[in-house]
Amino acid sequence: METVGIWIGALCTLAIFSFLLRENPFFRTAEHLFIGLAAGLGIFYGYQTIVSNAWTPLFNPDPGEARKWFLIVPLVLGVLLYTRFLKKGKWISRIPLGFLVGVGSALAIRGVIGASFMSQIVATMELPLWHTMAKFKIDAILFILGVIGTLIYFFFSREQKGPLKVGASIGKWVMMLAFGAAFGNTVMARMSLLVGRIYFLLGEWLHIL
Amino acid sequence: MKLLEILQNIDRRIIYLILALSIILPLLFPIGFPVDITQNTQDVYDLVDKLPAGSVVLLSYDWDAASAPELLPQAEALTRHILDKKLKLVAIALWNQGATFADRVHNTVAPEVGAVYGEDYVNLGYRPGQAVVLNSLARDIHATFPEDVARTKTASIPMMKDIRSIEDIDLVISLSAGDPGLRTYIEQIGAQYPVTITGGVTAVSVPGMLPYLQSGDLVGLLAGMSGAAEYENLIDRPGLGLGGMDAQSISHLVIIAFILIGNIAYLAGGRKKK
Repeated sequence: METVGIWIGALCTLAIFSFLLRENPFFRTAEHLFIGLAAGLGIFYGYQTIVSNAWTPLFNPDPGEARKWFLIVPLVLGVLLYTRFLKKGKWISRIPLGFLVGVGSALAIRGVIGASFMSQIVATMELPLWHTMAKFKIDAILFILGVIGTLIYFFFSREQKGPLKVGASIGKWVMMLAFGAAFGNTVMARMSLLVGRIYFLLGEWLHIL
Repeated sequence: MKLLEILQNIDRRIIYLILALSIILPLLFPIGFPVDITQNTQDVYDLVDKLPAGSVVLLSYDWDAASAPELLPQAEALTRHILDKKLKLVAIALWNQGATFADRVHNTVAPEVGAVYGEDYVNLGYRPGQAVVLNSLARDIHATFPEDVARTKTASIPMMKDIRSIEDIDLVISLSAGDPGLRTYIEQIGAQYPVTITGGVTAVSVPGMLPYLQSGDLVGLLAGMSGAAEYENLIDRPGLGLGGMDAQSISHLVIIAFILIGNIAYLAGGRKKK
């Protein structure tokens, strides 16, 4: 069975790589197969989660466990999402959607303000600038210059001339360097994927590694 | 000049072929470039290594097949280290293919280190819901993951009897290819609970995670395939990470060469026109 899986994986990999020459039916087949499988997997896991996290505790609890009646609320809300397919009852789907957006936004904002906003500001403020300067380490100075420069670059309340222009210019260069580093990492990531596929083809499929 | 025209109009299929050869040849004939250990990888290793036996590690598989070449070697190396140290491993997934990869890693590593399912490690599978799942998990793991991947009740799994909330977890590791992933853990768990968070990401995600290292919200980071190679070096168990580093290094040199050739040809051609 494992051999069949490896052969399917290898043939699908080659079919996808064939796109490098030109678009062809093999590539299309592999592409559709992948999309279908991914969608099927998503539906399966969604169904399984509803059964294990809501349906079973509500309707088939384990012996000795109380029914969790409150789970009827998310179940009903979930069903209401499908009213969007009804012409007259379309508006009802906005109720669960509003609930989802509300909870999702609240959780996201709570986390973002703490870890991705305040924590970053505090960490930048706490950088031991003078201490590292004394040690001839310029990391912290570059960091502070980069942050201030980038903030000035996005400061649009005044025309950028004089000191603001200098600051914005520093910000622009810092961002260009950051984009370059990000692009370099992207190339590295893509190469890793290619290495992984070739490793699979030569190793697990052809057994020449 | 004719040479400049040729350089500026190289058939893309030739570039693909050279790139493929730059990966295939080092895989067939390894060069053995040295792999230096970065501080971020060392920090991840130290976190795991310093945990006393019996400590609980939550390893989250937040990636899919598209990121497997980078994150699968990281997962294997980490799992080998965790189980070898006799730590308890709880695997979960925020991406639906993650649970399958967790099974694959366990099937490879557990027999080698003599780990037993349900006593030393468990795979609780995937739950959709992203940040909601993490908030729920932090309060009650059993309610969030009522069953493992084999549909065994979580409450009936021996090692899970005393692992009920985030307070029972000693270290959180997220191997992440995007959101939900390591950032979600930092924002939803790290910002609210006193548990150390570390992880590994694909190379493309590294710049986005560096600010969290600087702020201390994240301790240590495995960066792509090179991170996996470094970790394999630290635990002295070569795998796909180390095996692929030669190919990656050579392919990078080839890309740099192409960038230089293309730009030189462009600049030289432009000067001539002026």
